Amino acid sequence: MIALKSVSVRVPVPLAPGQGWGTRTLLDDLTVDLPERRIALVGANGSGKSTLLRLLNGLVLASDGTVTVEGLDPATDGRGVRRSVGFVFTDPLSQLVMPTPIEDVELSLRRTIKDRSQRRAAARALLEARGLGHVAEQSIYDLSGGERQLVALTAVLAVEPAILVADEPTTLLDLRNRLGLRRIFAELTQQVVIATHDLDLARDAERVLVVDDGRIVADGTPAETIPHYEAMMA
Amino acid sequence: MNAARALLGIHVPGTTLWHRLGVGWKYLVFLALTIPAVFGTPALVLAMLAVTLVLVATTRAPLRLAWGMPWALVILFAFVAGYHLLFGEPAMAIKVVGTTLTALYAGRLILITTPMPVLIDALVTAVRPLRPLGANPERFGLAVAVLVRSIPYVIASFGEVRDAARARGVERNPLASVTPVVVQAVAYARTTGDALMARGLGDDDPDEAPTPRH
Repeated sequence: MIALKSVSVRVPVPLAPGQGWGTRTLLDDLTVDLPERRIALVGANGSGKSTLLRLLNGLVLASDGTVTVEGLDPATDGRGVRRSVGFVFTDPLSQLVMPTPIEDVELSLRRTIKDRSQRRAAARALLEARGLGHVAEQSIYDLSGGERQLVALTAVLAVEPAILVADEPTTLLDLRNRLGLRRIFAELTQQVVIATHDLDLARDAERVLVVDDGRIVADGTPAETIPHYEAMMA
Repeated sequence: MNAARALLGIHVPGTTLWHRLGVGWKYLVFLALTIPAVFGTPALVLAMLAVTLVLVATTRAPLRLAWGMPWALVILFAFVAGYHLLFGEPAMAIKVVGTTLTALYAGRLILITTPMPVLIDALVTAVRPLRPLGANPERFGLAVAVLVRSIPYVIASFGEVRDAARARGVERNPLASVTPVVVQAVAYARTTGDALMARGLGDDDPDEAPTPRH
C-alpha cells in the first residue's frame, strides 16, 4: 500500500543573476492513498509525474509531509523501500549497468543468490522466460530498444519487488514493443504504478491520476479521467 | 562495432584456457605483460605488445573484437606518436603508445574471458580484508564495474558531439566539442547513480542480507 499525506516537493532554483536562489514547487500538498493493483499517472511534461514516482522509492524525498510504502518511509528506511519497489526508467540504457543482459540480471541477483553458478543459471532462466535467451550474452548496445526495455524490466523483476514503478516505459518503443510491454504489465502479480503519455497503456489501469502543475487534478477510472486529460491538453 | 565493445572488449563465452583460468591468475598475467612494458626498453615494449596481441587472439574471440580499436583512439595514438617523432623522440613514441596499447590489450584479455559478475566477486573478495578499515567491498566492486562501462560511454560521447558540432559548422571551436561531453558525462553520472540507487545496488553487502523478500 502506498500513501502520501500532505506531500510537497520543492527544489532550489537560481533566480536572475545576482539575486540568489528561490524555490520551485514540483509537487504541492498531495494527499492520496494508492491501494489499486494498476495505477497510471498522466500529465504534461513537467507536471510532476516523475517526481511523484521518484518519491515512491526514495529517489526524491518529500520537503513536507509523509510518504509510506509498504509501511515504510523512504526518508528513514530507504533500503527497505527499495527492496519493495522496483523502478523502470524511460531509457533502459540509463539503468542497465552491466555490459550484457545476463550480467545485468546477475547483478540484480547478487543480494539473493550467493552461489555464482546458481546465480548465472537463474539469470539465464529469467531471460529465457522473457524470450531474451538469444541475446543474453550480447552487448546491451547491440540490442533493440524493445529488447533493452525488456532486459531492464527482467533485471528489476528478478528480485521480486512487491511494487513496480515505471516512468514512461513505452516512450522509446515502437508499436509492437509497446503492445508487448502492455501484455507483460497486465500479467504481473505486483502492484504497478506507471507514469505515461501512452493513453492506451493508461486505459489498462484500474485508476488514473491526472497530474498538472504539481497537483492531482483528476482521479478515477480511465473512463472518468482520460477524457478530462484530453480536454485539458486540447 | 560500438565504442563499448571496441575499447575494453566484452565477455565472449568460451572454453579456452583463458576462460577457465582463475581471475587472480589473469590479474597476474596482466601485471606480467604490462610491468615489463612500463619499465622496459622500446624493443621490450614492442615484444610485450606482440605477445599480448597473440595472447588476446588465443581467447578465440573474433579478431575484430580482440584487436579492433575505436577510430578516435587510433587517431589519438597517431597524434601522440607523431608528436614524439616530430621532436626526434622515436623511442618515446614507441614507449608511450606501445605501453598504453599493451595495457589496453592485456585488460581485454581479462574482460573478454571473464564475466563482469565474476570480476566483481574477485574484487569484492580482494577488498574484504579492508572492511575493518571502513571499506565497503560490494560498493568497490560495483564502482569498478560502472567505471568499466562508463569509459566507453564517454569516448562514444566525444564522437557524437563531434558529429553534432560538424553538422552545425562549429567543429573548430573546442568549447563546442568539449562542453557538451562534460554536460553529458555529468548527466550520465547522475542517471547511473539514480539507477544504482533505484535498484538498491550498493545498499548493502550480500553477505549481510542474503534473504529474498518474497
